[in-house]
Amino acid sequence: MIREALLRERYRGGQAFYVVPRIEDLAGVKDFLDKHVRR
Amino acid sequence: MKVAVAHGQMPPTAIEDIMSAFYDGKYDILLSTTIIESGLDIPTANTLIVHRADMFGLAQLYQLRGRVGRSKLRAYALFTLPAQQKITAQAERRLKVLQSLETLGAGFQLASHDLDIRGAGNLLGEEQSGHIKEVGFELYQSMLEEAILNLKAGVVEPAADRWSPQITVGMPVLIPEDYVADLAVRLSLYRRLADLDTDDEIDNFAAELRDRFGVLPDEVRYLFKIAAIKGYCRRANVEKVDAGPKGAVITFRDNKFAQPDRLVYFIRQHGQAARVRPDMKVVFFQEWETPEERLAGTTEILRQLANLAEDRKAA
Repeated sequence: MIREALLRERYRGGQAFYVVPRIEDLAGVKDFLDKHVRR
Repeated sequence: MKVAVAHGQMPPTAIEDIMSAFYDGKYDILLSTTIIESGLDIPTANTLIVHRADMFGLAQLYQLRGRVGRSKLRAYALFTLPAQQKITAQAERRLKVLQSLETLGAGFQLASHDLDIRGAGNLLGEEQSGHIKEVGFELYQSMLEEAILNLKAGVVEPAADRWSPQITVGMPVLIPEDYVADLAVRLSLYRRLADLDTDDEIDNFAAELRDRFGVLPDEVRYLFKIAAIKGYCRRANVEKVDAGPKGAVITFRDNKFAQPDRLVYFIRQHGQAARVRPDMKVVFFQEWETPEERLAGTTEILRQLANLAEDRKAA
């Protein structure tokens, strides 16, 4: 679902914010993004 | 997709560079901590994903959500929760409130909801008991209500006849959570408390609380005493009372008192213990070691002032 939302935004030429509560969370989400929304 | 990463422990210039690169469309996704909460509007960014939404405060979530949907494009905000663990009841409540806040002016409601959920702990809690400076909980509540009502009614200037005296005594005055557990009940009690005027009303309300919730804790007893002082203040046209271990400073509303001659006489009666400052505030010098003494002393002075103002014998 997150992937879809991000791709949808991308298709309409927009950008997205991805906000995490703690700095430690950044790496995990970055991994997720690299794996799932990489093109 | 190109992802930029930013967080608050990076040097400010680095954050700025990333933000402006994002603004220029060099990245598709800006992955960051809450540093994007405020700042430059980015009209092309219309999707927001909040990771672990249960870890944010309500005001923060609301603020974040406000980052998207500023332009004509439809915006999306997704709030994610951990799949495994259960979130706390408070977090769940925060998210429910966020869902319910859709209309214009929701920000006002939000402030009160946020306070409701977190409780007034940080505002009036033990750790700050000496610093109830300008706004107490009760006052905050009534100011907020007044502001909302005025806005709804389309009133621009605040109504002149509805004013709330400020009393600073430097001690915790609140209804503790362990006394009245239910939030909604607690708030309605605060609200009713702000409407009390006469001693009778206050006594009756105190008796009702004793009936419903048991013996009054100190904080609540103080709350009632403050309510009584406020009643006197309104009658004596006193806008502000600051009481400390060395006495009290009294500020009259518009520096006016209904019976100036009597006031002068009253102050003279106190000899060295009272005087009018050049700025028209009246100071009473007292030795109030304990909060109890401070409250009792303040009550007595204001009671006498109220009687003076209404042309009765100060007894």
